[in-house]
Amino acid sequence: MFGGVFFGLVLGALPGLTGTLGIALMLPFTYSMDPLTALVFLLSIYSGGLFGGAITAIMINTPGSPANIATMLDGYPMMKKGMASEALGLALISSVVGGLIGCVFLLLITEPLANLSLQFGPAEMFMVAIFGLSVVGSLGDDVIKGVFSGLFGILLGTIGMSANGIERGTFDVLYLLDGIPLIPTLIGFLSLPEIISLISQQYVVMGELPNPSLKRILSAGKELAKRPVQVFLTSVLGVVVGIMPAAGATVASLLSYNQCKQLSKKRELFGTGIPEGIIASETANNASEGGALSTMLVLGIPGSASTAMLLGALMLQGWVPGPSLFVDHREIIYAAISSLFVQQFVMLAIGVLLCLGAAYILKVPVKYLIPCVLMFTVLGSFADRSAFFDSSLMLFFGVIAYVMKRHQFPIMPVVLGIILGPIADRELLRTVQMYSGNYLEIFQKPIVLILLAISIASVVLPIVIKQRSLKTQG
Amino acid sequence: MKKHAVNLFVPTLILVWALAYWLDILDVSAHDKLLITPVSILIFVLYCYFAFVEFSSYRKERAIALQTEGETTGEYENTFWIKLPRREIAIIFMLAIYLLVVQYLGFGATSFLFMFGMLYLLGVRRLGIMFGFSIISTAVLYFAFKVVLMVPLPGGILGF
Repeated sequence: MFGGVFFGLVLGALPGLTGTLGIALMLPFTYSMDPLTALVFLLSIYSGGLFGGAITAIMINTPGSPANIATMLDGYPMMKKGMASEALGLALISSVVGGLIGCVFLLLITEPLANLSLQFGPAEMFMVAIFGLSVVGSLGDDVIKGVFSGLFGILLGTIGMSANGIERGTFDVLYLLDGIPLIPTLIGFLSLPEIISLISQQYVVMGELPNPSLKRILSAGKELAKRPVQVFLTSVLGVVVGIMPAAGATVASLLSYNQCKQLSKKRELFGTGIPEGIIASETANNASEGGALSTMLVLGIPGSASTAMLLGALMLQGWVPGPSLFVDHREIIYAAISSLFVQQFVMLAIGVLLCLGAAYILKVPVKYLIPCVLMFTVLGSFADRSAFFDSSLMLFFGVIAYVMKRHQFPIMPVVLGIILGPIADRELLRTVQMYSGNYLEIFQKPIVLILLAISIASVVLPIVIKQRSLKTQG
Repeated sequence: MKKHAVNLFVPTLILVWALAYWLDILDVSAHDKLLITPVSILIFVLYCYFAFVEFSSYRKERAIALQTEGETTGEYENTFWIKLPRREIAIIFMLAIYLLVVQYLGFGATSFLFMFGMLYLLGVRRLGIMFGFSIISTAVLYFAFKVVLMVPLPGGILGF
């Protein structure tokens, strides 16, 4: 367990390398292990990977995995204020708490959770994507520019093979047949401009920096204790999103961050380095693990690449995921689920040590840091498909992002569009195919109506609240 | 006028790409363009909005300039050519060259040269530090990615 968590943490922390890659690398080794050990080992890598990416997201504005994009939005600004230890501590303790809450749901209501996932058909999944995209306008100073950037991202996300196997927007480039690769795109859009902009500085954070300390890292626990409602609700959101097939930790953290921003009284402060932003992202992405595992174990439906690998591991052991798993191997499954509780505390212990080490990165002069980070971004982009095309794409998008930023076009809506656009596209096609001739039936589904109402509220409510606050000020 | 043209640079870039995308999928059935069609239309509509805003802004400024004596040309001339940040462009250029050359020269040699060049660009001048740092960091990256993570790094003509 310690080995798995450490491996997952380190891999997750390296840009472009994720816990999923760690599971893929270690999967063949689990063949010779007994089922419980194999499951615990891979689950440990998975858990570690989810937090590991937050370290680089906070320290160098480069998410270690897509699930840590939202962490970067407030983590990096908080680090720039000289509060790196606090930011890392918040991410760590939020991950642990989110993971624990996800485990509770997984342990107590695995089967009902999994059955809930069966209620999510194409129309529901399309609404989930729309729900996630409904906030693009609020992710920048200019709403119209935010929407424009979001539309650009959605269009980018549709490149590749459609659900019908038709090539779109590839311009005969073979590497684009599977669509825009996500990790190089994220590194290019989010990290490269920031890394390049550091060259005008001597250190990542200028001025006197307090030394990293255990006390400051663990002081984040107090911040979480001050926000019990947010912690609980974002974790529940993470669990619910986790059970949806093809949603995963990335969508969970983005939706959670967006909703917290929309509903918070301090919404203008999101993105400036406030604890709420980090808590929202990290509790949700780790809690989603519980939801994803319930769907995978009970129904045999992997919700993400990581759970697909875990499914593979179970099948290597000769097991068939599904309802019979709980009948035939009940004690092992529940032992593995229970181990998740212990893994969170192991992650806390190892994570504290990694955070202490990571905070010292700030003391390294930028002239030595930038070349190393750039090499990591190039290799991280390359590692996924062993193609330098992906690294070139990373550089290309980095240039685009740099130009966009100079012209005050926000980047986050583009990223949201790239992540949620393919989901929206695929599910819209399936919805049309399923309900052709009877579209009104879509609006009879309760989940669709709820998500539609929340999406509309997400757009309208902030405008109404802003108008009211302007009136009271006037 | 040139300032407003600069402001339309990013929307124009995105619109041109969206148009090229649309032309590329002209033969594709409507079912496979369900989301692309409305998104492309919205991009076009928002581009028209940006163009209208910039044009209105230009007309207002021109009207003000004509009212006060003389035209304000010199003030905006310099912003047509965006002041290009040389070091940033040099980094992007070096990365591009790295990506072009690495497949032929191999990871080891190219990464060493890249690190060396980057350190020089960022102001490091002590040869010992430049050589040592470049060799050690290349070796560590090679070990981490090739040996531990078994990522197939290109060997190139030099074999590593």
